[in-house]
Amino acid sequence: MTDHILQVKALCKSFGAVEASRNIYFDVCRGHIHALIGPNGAGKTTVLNQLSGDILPDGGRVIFDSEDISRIKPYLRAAKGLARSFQITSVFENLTVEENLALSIICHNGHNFRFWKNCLKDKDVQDHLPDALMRVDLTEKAKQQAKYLSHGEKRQLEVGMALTGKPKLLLLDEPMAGQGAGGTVELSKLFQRLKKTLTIVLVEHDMDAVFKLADRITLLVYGEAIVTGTPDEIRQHPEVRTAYLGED
Amino acid sequence: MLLLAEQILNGLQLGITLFLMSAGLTLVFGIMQVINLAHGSFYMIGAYLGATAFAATGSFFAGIAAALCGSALAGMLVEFLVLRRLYYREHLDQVLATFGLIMFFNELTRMIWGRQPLFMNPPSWLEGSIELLPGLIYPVYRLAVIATGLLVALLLWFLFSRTRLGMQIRAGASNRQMIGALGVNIRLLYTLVFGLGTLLAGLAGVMAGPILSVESGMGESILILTFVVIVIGGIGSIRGAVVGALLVGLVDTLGRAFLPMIFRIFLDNAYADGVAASIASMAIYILMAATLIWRPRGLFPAHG
Amino acid sequence: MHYFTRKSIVIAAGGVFFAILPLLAASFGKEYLVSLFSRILIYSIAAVSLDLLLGFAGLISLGHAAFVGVGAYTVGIFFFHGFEAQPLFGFIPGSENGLIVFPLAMLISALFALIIGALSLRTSGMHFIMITLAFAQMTYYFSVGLEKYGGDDGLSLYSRNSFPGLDLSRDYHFYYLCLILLFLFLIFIYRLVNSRFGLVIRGASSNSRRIQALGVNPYHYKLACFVIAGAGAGLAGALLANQTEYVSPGLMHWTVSGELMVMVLLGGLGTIFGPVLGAATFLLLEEFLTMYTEHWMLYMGPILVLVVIFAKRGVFGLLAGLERRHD
Ligand SMILES: Nc1ncnc2c1ncn2[C@@H]1O[C@H](COP(=O)(O)OP(=O)(O)OP(=O)(O)O)[C@@H](O)[C@H]1O
Ligand SMILES: [Mg+2]
Repeated sequence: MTDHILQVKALCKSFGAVEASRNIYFDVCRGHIHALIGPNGAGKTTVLNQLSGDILPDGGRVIFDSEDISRIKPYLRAAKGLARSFQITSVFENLTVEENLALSIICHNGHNFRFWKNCLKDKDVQDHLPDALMRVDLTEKAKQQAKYLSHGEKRQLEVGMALTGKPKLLLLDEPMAGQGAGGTVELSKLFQRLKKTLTIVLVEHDMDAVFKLADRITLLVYGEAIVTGTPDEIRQHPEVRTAYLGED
Repeated sequence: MLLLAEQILNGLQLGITLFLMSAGLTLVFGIMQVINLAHGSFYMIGAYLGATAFAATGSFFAGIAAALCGSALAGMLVEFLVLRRLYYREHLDQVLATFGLIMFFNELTRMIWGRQPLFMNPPSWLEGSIELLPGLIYPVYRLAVIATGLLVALLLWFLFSRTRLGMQIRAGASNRQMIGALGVNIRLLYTLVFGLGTLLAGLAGVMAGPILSVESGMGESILILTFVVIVIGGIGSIRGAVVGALLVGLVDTLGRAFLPMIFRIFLDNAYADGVAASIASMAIYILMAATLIWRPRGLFPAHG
Repeated sequence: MHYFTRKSIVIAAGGVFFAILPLLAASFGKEYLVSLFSRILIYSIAAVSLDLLLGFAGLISLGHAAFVGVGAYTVGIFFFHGFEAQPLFGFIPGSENGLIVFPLAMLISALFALIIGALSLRTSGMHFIMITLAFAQMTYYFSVGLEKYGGDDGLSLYSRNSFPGLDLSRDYHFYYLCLILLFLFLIFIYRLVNSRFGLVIRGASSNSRRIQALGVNPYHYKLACFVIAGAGAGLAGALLANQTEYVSPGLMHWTVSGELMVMVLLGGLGTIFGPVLGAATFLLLEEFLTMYTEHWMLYMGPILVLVVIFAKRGVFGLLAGLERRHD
């Protein structure tokens, strides 16, 4: 039996008349990069939001490390080892880069009702901050406010924040979007390295990257999970060709 | 029993005033996403202009006309000069700028009309009382206020559910982007909605004139009650404004009337009145806190 | 590190000015300035505590005066019971010892803030603004209902609190007490904002969804922040009661909350030291305008509107050359 870190069962979600998730099933194996692909509006972000708890499903279950988390609050899921990045870049704009990363470090290390000592001199921060900056290549920009970063740098920062908590499962919503060719290669390398320690659910439109990186792929169309399989299986699958790759 | 009926009518009358205030304010909140502390100022402007025009001409209708025109014009002017620049700013900026407007308007009325309150009598044809039920004598003027308020509520209902403009306004209250996509002239619509809101506030003000005294700062006590109404009813919802206004009007009036009696059963008289009076003045806030615990976004939230 | 930035020079100059102000006042024979500036220092404490909410936690509280009032009433009520030698609730002795009643004032204001905050923080945005205003109004009516303590008319203290080694009836002693307390409070807030707690608070106000994705429930942090700000306001209230030797519901009137907000904005939102300048600007402007006209608000109102629309940096921002705050 394979070891599933995440199981999605019969997930349903409607927004008014739009059925954004229709009875979705898929399992994610520990240590895999599992890609979710599908045309615009297929419901990928909606699935991710239900995994992270940002929206609650109408029906169905999300099982993380054999625990049903479908109805608990996002911050509790995060505390259990589930980290995410957002499709619309979401960093702390008013804070500096190092403060952004320091914040994600302290959020994962004990409580923060500490009122006196300067945060950047905190032991947890001093231990982890240099690595965290290095990992996403932002050491040079440490003192800059996040709102002045380029779009690609913000994406890197966001991935960096998702990583500092040593999550077990990382949910990434189009991390490559807005990255130049160089950035995409860098991120691909990063994900490849990360695979050794954690599992990734990756939503991505960049098909080259997906087919190169992913161990398994789930195809969503109109809110339905049509097929799940290895990149080769997906490439050969007839419905993939018609529904997604635009062939007739 | 008669006392109860009388107090319910009083509560209804306060509720109607609050509804007129909150209907306009909740639309401005809902559509423009602007928090406008100065809404009470238009209530005050309505009352002052109405009282002055009534005293000068002797015609109550002239008073009402002056109040409506004055408050609507002042509202549109303020929208054009100040609020328009704040639509996309933080709430804090809106709070501060409209607080500045309150300072300005309160002081302006003090300069023009002096520090003494104005007294305004009901028109002669609405003076006196009638016997509604055997033993239940009620002032005609207050009945007229209730009737006018109900009429305006009906008109608003008609405006919102049956006309194109109303449709656009409602679309705007629940979805701001959509209204732009419909090709509506947003700037003009905003100015009109704002003017409509302040017109209603002015109407509430001039109608309250003969019941309360007309004085500088009168807008703020009603404003805070209006906020309580909106918090209870839910931002941007006319239905919420109706329910909230009636609830607040009734709870406040009945609390003040009956709590002393109830407390006298348990406590000795002198003490009971004091305790009851302070609890009665806090009753609506307690109601608000209870609503919050039960439904943090109000009874009828307009946005999903 | 640069120690001689514009910002640090402005702060140092301000500190020196406040420290020698009584000497200046005495040498120019304008002793009344000492009491005016005591008032400025007191309102500075209240404004700095409000800045913690407005500028750092992103919580727009329009009811901050309630906590100032609660602090003042604590001092007033304890004084009353001490003076009448009649214990509060029959067993708590009154007191006029500052070392007892000042901490008590902060504690009780903090408790009020805990209750009001716990309810208000269930909402956000415009709801939060209206609710804090409404609860402050409720506190106001509550104090009006305190017949025993003068109701509407308020309560007079017959002397200021006693502090070991100080004689507060002398305005200079009182001034320096205010100055020292403001100084300590500023240091505390400065440390707070840069601490772990402060970073979480700033993060939560910058991006609430993001901070939840990091595993933090912002509610408890915001509530703690609200309570701390309430305690600061309580301290200001205790000082205010001492300065005027009088407490009344008027202290909690919602316009006072509005004025505190104005001070924060004038000084510079989210700048810690700015609100001190803001309080000074506001109170001096009031003093100055009332010399020429009793209708000073007629000018203050439009000035405020213009400042909001055109000059968001505040006085401190202008002097210290800070960048414009924008979201
Ligand atoms: N909050 C919402 N309210 C209403 N409809 C929504 C909401 N969120 C998503 N939808 C709808 O649900 C459907 C799925 O949207 P979703 O964002 O999940 O797609 P996606 O696969 O992530 O698309 P993209 O590749 O463009 O990011 C779309 O039709 C969208 O319009
Ligand atoms: Mg998406």
